[in-house]
Amino acid sequence: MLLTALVLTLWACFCIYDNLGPTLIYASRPLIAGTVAGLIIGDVTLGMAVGGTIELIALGSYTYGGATIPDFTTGAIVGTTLAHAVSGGFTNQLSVGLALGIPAAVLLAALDPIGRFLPTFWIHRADVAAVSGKTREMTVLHFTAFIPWAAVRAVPTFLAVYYSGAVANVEKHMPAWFTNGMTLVGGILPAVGFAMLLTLLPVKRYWYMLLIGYVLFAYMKVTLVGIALFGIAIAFMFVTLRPQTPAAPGVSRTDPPPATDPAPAAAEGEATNV
Amino acid sequence: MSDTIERVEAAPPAERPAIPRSVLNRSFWRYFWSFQISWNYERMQALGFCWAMIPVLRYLNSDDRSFAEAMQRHLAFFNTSPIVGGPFILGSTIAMEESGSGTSAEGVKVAMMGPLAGIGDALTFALYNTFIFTFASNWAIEGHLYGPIFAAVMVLVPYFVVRRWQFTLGYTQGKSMIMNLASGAFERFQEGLIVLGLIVLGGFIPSIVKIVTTLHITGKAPTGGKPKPIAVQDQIDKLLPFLLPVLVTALIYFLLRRFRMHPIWAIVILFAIGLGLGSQGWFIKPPAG
Repeated sequence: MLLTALVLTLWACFCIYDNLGPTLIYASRPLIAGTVAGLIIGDVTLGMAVGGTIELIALGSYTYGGATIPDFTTGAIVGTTLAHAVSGGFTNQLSVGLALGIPAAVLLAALDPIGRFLPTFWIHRADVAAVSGKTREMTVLHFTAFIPWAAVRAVPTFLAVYYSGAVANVEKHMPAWFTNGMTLVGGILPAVGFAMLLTLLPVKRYWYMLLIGYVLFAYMKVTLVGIALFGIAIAFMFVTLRPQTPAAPGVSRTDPPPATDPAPAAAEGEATNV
Repeated sequence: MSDTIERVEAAPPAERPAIPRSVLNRSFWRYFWSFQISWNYERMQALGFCWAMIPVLRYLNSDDRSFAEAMQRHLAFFNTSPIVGGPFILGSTIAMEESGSGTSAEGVKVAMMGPLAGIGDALTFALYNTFIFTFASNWAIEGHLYGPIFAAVMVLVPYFVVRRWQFTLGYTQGKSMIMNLASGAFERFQEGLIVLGLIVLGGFIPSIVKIVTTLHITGKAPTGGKPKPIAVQDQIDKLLPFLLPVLVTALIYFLLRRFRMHPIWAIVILFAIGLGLGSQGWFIKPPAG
């Protein structure tokens, strides 16, 4: 258990590193974080289910401008691990994973500001290092400033995983009401993710686009991939067929009169390519 | 400040040797591997940006004093979108430093970080990621390992390409590029993505949010027979399928938008309501049978 806890703690640290640094596989997204946590504990399917469900809840939540959001990453890792510790069928495990993973994400949001605040001390030391031109010290400061970021995630992850055995005993007999309740929770929580996304998009101007997607899915039973392809076609039509009078002075710098002609021609070419 | 202005006049850009590729690459990789790891509330991405600039600054400033000054300049507050935006600003800033104008470099950073933060966040997070991760999550929940793999690959390759491309573009085109982008072509591209995003969301919402009513209404008996309960959900399905998922999402949207409710509260409220109602067996699909 100690080894698993250490590996998962390392994984939690990598997730936040990947988010702040290279963004290789977006490990901080709950889907990826949960799936790999599942791989580590030997139950990928469970990891994918917990991570995937939490991902849908977290869809629109990104740290815009450094805002604090629920720590869905650590929530997915902890949720997957605790779910695995519970005996019982897949449905039981999944409901435990959500029942513990989501509150964990919400609670851990309280630690995030600490991780964001502490590196402030580092930047003041960097000011001093810059004055004297010490590049080595700048490098050290840049990398050690990551320690608070990692610590506020590593410690809760390690504790939750290391003591996950405690959950197994408590939840031996899952009452039916609890599983039912978590089924509904998992069903309706993605509404938060979608609602957050909608607040970022100009819904008032383009509400009818939502209607198109809804009709395609609900009445015409088109699959999601089908809707996406249809959406690409509509987006191309929308952009190319739209009258573009206001953009004219900026775009056609060279010769205004013919500029109106090649534009629709190019538009047709693009449209047929799709 | 008078120092830098003098330098511009003394050394015309043509005489200065261009920054070698290896130095540029060192800057890019520094940015790539660690841009935000020292993020903090006070100056956000400042140290990460400064650290990425160091190879270039060292190359351009043989004098230790001017090198130290340049480093201090780049420790000023900085925050922008890390994937779309940041690499472009880094490239442009390097071009400005190379042309010998530290104050212009400062100006480029301040002028670009705000607008590019908005555009970049919207493109990468709200539009692209939503697209990729909703599909991937759906597949993952169904138990297909290709779901997460799809998401990982769709981040790994495009995210790298788009950063590398912007860095080069920023260095070669600099500020003039942003002026062209602002003239309409880019805006249309973004508009197209928004349209695509909304159409897809219109389908995603009813397919992923799961809530049905289990309510039955006992109607009047038809001519002497037994009164037969009518499933309300069946009636809804005939008129407006997936009405409840759409209503729940609309309600949360309304709360977030109109009352500026924090998403954490929305989660807490739905969690409590869901657990309460679901435990009674309401609003969930009865086991198939």
